Amino acid sequence: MPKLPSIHLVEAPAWQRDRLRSWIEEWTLDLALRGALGEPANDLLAPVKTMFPDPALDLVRPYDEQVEVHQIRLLGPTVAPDSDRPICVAILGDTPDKLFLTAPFSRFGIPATPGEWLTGRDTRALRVLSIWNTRLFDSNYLRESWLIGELTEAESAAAWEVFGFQMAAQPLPSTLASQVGPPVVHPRDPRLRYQAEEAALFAAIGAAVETVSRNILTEFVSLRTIRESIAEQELDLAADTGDTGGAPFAREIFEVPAYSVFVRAYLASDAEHIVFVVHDSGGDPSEALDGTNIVAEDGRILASIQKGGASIPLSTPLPEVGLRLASGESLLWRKSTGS
Amino acid sequence: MATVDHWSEWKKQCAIALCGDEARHNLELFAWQRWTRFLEITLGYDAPELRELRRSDVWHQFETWCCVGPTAAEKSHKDWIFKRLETHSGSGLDIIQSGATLVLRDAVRDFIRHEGRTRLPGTRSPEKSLDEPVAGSEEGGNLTYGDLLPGELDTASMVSIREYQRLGEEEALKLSADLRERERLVLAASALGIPMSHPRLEQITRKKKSVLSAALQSVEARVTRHIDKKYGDEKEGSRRILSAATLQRLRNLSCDPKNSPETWRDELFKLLSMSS
Repeated sequence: MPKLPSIHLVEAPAWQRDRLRSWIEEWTLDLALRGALGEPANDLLAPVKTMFPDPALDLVRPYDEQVEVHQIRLLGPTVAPDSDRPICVAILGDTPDKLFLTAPFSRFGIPATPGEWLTGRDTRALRVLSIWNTRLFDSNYLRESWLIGELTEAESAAAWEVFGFQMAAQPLPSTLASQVGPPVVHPRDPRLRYQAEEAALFAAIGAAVETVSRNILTEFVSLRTIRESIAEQELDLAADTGDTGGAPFAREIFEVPAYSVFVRAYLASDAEHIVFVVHDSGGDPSEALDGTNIVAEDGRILASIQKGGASIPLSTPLPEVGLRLASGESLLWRKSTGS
Repeated sequence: MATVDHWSEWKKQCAIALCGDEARHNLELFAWQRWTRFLEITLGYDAPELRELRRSDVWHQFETWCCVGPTAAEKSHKDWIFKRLETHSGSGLDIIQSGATLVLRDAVRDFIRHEGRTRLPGTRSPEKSLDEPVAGSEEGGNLTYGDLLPGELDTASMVSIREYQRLGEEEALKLSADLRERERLVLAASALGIPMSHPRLEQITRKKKSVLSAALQSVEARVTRHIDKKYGDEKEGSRRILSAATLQRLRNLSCDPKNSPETWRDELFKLLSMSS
């Protein structure tokens, strides 16, 4: 019989086991309670027909329309009519174009995954922040909510640490490491269903412009967008300098946080290739990504990075491209303005 | 029976203690009836929590959930309950009471978790072992806590890990030839993080989620059997790691166009982009 090499497995810490057990308990209860609501015979929703006087709506406080970073808000049913629970959100930050980075609080009191953070608050509805589900919202939609509190400076800082950990694979400070949920490794883990439900609920809100993970860190970038952006820069540079012979510094830059390097994309002088060059954060050439393949969305390997660079022919149609390590693992990258 | 006037009185007065006797009686009865029903369904008809249930205590649990602080601004759950009148159809009383019931559901779940049976002295369920099956998921099948939290590979074992990955690839290539189309589909879906219960997945495959879950479990069981048979003399932990590496490789292979030319793959990627 063939032999297997010896291997050491570091057992998951006790707090992770306890947290997973507690979360599964909540999830199991939630499924049972949802089943109860769905039972037609149990009459839980008591359809007793009476006329409702309009003045009852006058009892509702108006929405708090001034939206600002660090606020904690309860979304009104007008913005999330399909939700089966009141959704509280925290506004983590904003963008220059007035979109707000918004994360919902979990309906459970236990963090499910490493992207959920135990806030330490006693208030039932604000105990766990689902940072993995952060999205960009337009203030027009967030106005339809009530202000119910504010993140403290410490809470905001901690939320950003978990955000960086979740979205950009940055290390999590040891003080926060035990305040998040355990990792998900099994494809049939019930937490995946929970995440799918929560993502769908939040995505259904008309205001969700885009998921942050897609907007900031992504698996694939468009070669077409890269080429068009470089062409625009060349035109701008040519207009500024009067030089129509091609501008040498027109480029797109992408950051690969997991390796702390930047990938610059240039249009080759033959205008038939995109050249990728890897640099470290100081701007020096780097071979950190050597051996990494540049792949199309369908898995085709277009080029392999060697000695800090790679070249891809501009075929038609132009594909979306991603970085894939030799082990098959995908690297996330995002557009950058630096290095 | 509670009326809209009773609910409105509660909304105006902020707390049940400030309401008149009639409103207080009927609202507490409403909450108690639903709370009891929720407990019956989750804990059973003979749950001790049911015998100890006082109406005023139930209402207190409900109001505690409604309040996120001491000020009116922090009692917005009440506003949420009433604001649904603008977005939901039906009678006003139904809308208010269905909103209140949804809040009650969350309060009941929290009560059971923190103050109910599982927290009563001497009755809390013992710590689960890693071999204990995981409840609460239609997709769970025969999952154990050990499957969900296998621990982390020691980085000192990197050379061995690579060897497991290489062996996993070898075994996956052998097994992939015998996979049926439905099995490749469920593997690809799981590689993309799409749950078997996703309604669109049922539409694409024209198979029920239970059938899809069974197909996924069947592949997993086949991989485990194959590895157990081939490496029967090895430790269970080592075989489990190799099975996981083989399954991971099979999932990736199932996403690869070269191995899975079926049109459903495009549908899966569309589904992924819709849900992300």
